[in-house]
Amino acid sequence: MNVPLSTDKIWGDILQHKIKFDFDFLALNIMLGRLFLEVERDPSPATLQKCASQMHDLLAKNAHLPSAKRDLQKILGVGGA
Amino acid sequence: MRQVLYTIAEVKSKIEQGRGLLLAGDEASLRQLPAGNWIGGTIPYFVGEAGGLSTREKIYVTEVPDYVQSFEVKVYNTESIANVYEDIPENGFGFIILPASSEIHKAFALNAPTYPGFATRPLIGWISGVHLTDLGKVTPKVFDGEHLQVMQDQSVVMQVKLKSGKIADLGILNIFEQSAGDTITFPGDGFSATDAYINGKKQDFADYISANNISTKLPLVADYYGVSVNISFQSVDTEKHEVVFYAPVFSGIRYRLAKPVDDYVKEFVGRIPENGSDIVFSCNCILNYLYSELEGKKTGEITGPMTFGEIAYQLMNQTMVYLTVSELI
Repeated sequence: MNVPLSTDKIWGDILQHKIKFDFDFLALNIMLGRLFLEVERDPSPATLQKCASQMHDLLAKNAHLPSAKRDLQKILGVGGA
Repeated sequence: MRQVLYTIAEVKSKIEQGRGLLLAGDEASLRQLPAGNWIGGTIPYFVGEAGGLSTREKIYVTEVPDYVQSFEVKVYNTESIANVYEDIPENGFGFIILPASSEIHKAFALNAPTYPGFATRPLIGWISGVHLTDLGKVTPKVFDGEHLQVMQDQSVVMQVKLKSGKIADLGILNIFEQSAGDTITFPGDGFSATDAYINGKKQDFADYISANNISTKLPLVADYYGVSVNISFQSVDTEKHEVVFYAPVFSGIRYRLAKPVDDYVKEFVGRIPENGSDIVFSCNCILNYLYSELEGKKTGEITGPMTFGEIAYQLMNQTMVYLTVSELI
């Protein structure tokens, strides 16, 4: 399954609460809990891109897991590349 | 239900057969075991095949399954623990045990989210402890069974690689949820706090707990994008103006006290995952064992050591964590 590029707008939309998903992959939920804090403290484009890359890498490395696959389907369903 | 608690003689026999083993037991029991392919940690509380019990004589055994391709035992100190996620094999998992109240326990709990590769591979495990009557007299230990090394200030990890076609994943079962009460934040990260911001207003946290008659059997709960992550209370001292926790609070994270739970076992059993038969290992918290009086009670088909902290990617409190291995579809 394709993971949207780390530069895709979808990651920024998630990190800035513009879009909300109900994710199944525990690692993604835990990581997002942390990344929201980082973005809240420093909402600069550089921080957003760093956090987007972390989300992308996590899903790319775990795209074979059923829970991660379900989450990717949710992300792709709303316009990720 | 499959057997999980074994006598020392039975565990010796498994070790001599060359089996890979993940062990939990009282220190005196683990010290009697021969060298072999095992790691272990100290704890004498379990939910076994017959329900919750405390025993110093029996050892909780998780056998490394046959579908494992290879495994390696590694010992980490407060510096090298930063590599723990990156050392996990690409198709595998890491199984970690850390001694409670040690420097490495604190370092991992506080810093894990900053370690390279955090959460990118499954890391499951637990915090070793002692019998409650030994608190303050005996230190929790971890064991590297390959070298018969007993440690109170290092962590032992079995890094496991699965055969192709198998996949490992982690889950948690946490019956606690945020209440609709006050939002609590902290000015710094740590295992203790003097002040907290209650709905944005700075207050002496110990006084706040005391004045509001808050039950410290209920944890603080943070919402990690829909997943509840608990921080359990260890002590509240209004004279010292100090509240101590079993896991660190983090500044910026918004906590609320948990909603009360009427019947732990009923809530727990009602939430056992559908893929429960794929569970290879699980452990639950000693506080759930104590506060919910699990001695003699069964929690469905779920068994495991009752620990001083649980690890699913990061440190958890008052939570069951579990590892599943299933077929790659």
